[in-house]
Amino acid sequence: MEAMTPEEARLASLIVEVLNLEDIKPEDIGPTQPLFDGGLGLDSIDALEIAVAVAQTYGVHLKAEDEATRAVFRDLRSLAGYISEHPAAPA
Amino acid sequence: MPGVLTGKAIQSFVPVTNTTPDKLPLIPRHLDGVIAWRGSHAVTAAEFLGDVQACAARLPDAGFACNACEDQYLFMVGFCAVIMRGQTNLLPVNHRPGTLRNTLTDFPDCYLLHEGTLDGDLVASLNRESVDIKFASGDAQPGKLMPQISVDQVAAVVFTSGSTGDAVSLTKTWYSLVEGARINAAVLADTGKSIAAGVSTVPPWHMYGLEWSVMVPLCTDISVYAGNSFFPADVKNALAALPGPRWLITTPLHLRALQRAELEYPDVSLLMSATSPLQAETAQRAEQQFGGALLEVYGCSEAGSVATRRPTLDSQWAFINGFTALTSSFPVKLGAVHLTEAVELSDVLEFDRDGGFQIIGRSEDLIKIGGKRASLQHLTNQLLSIEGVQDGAFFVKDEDAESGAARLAAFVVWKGRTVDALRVELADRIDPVFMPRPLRQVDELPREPTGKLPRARLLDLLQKSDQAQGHE
Repeated sequence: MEAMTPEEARLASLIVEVLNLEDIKPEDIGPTQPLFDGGLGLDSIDALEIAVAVAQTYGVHLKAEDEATRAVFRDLRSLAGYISEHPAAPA
Repeated sequence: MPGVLTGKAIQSFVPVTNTTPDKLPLIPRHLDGVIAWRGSHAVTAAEFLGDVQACAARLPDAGFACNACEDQYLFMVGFCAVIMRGQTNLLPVNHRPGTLRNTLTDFPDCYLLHEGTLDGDLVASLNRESVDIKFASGDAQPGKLMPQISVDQVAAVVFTSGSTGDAVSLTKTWYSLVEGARINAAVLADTGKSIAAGVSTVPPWHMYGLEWSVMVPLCTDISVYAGNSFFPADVKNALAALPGPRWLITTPLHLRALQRAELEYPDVSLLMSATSPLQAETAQRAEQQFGGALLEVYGCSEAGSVATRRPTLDSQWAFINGFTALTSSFPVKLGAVHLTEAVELSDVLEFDRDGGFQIIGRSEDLIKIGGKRASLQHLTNQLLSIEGVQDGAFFVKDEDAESGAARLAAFVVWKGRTVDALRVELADRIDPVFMPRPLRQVDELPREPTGKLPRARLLDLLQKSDQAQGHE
């Protein structure tokens, strides 16, 4: 399993907590494991929950309107990276 | 112009007069008005018609098109282009590989219509003609000649879960969709809020999104946001791009997400919520937050929207004008002029003296997760169909949780492999929102001698299993 950065670990914990992923521990989420479509198998409801949790925790407002912004959601690494690069910007 | 419906002046609706009585226009509205907003750019209905005609010219000959477009505007262009060609839109519940594969298998005379965002390998593996609508649209000239569509043409097949467990396909004639839009335009007019433009957070390929975010703009002067509005930030941007008075077509799940995201949203005159029950508190906060009125809508894929209520004023529902209850005890049967047969509602309704009603509960087998309908028996059957599974059962874990966020759980008796391997097999067969949390392996299910598996016993087993695993 690839090593997680502290930011990725923090985000993994947030995701597991917010989505009530009972059988999964944060450290079990591979940083480059796809979050949706196989991989962790999250769905659109989860995506919404994650977006809200990220907004509340980091003050970062995710968007999904175009492909580029949807790519941010590919895996933990891309999502954590986006959050680090876009600190608390107004939506 | 005869046959044009306006959201504002439905009282002056003129019965459609056409060149022949058995046809209806493809776009029964004022063509010089705005039908969609691409960011802050207004797209007139005439331009839309041009896009539709350009797209239609490039579609192959076939009986059916699996419309897998996801952008609101592109979906509408494809939807109308397919109809213009005399073909039928297939609208599967989702665009997952398994679902698309199954749909195309069931409909051999069908091509795939998409917007170029599906995985290239997937499209190739489907081994069917596919059309990228973005290339099909090409150079559109604002069209002049309005296509006339046979009232009996099957414009769309909508899919949903049936009470027997298998997927159900529902045919929608052009007449039923246009008449449904007329009925819905009257609902909007009755709110007393004149609406200019709306944003939808729901998929246009589900009945709720199809009737409100697609058919209403096609048949009235109301326009719709062209992109996809899913996350709170998207919804805020979409609303900001629209002229007021604004309309939000959404669900309880989204309303709560919008509240929790704590953004400042533009005013919305009319908030519309459907697909799962709305808590009174969410309704109150939404009205305060957006400065508008919240109209809750109740319906089903078979009949479309059939009843409304203002939850901040009254918990009672009233049937929409045009729908009549033919029976008052479960199952309630509804009739309407544009429905070819009476529709049975799967909820238990309790009527009051004046014909209004409360919704008491659902049939035990048909559940809704995230606004999507499924049969617990069907899901259980999917689990049981996996090789190596000896027994299993899906059940609703959190009955009291706000319905949109409730999840399913499942037990499985399965020896030898890991639950992860089982999860992968299951994911290939069912929609992600129905994936059980948790999926717990047990030695045997607590069946009664008759084989029945009461929910109480499943919840009890879950509690014991949680304790054994060291949860809570």
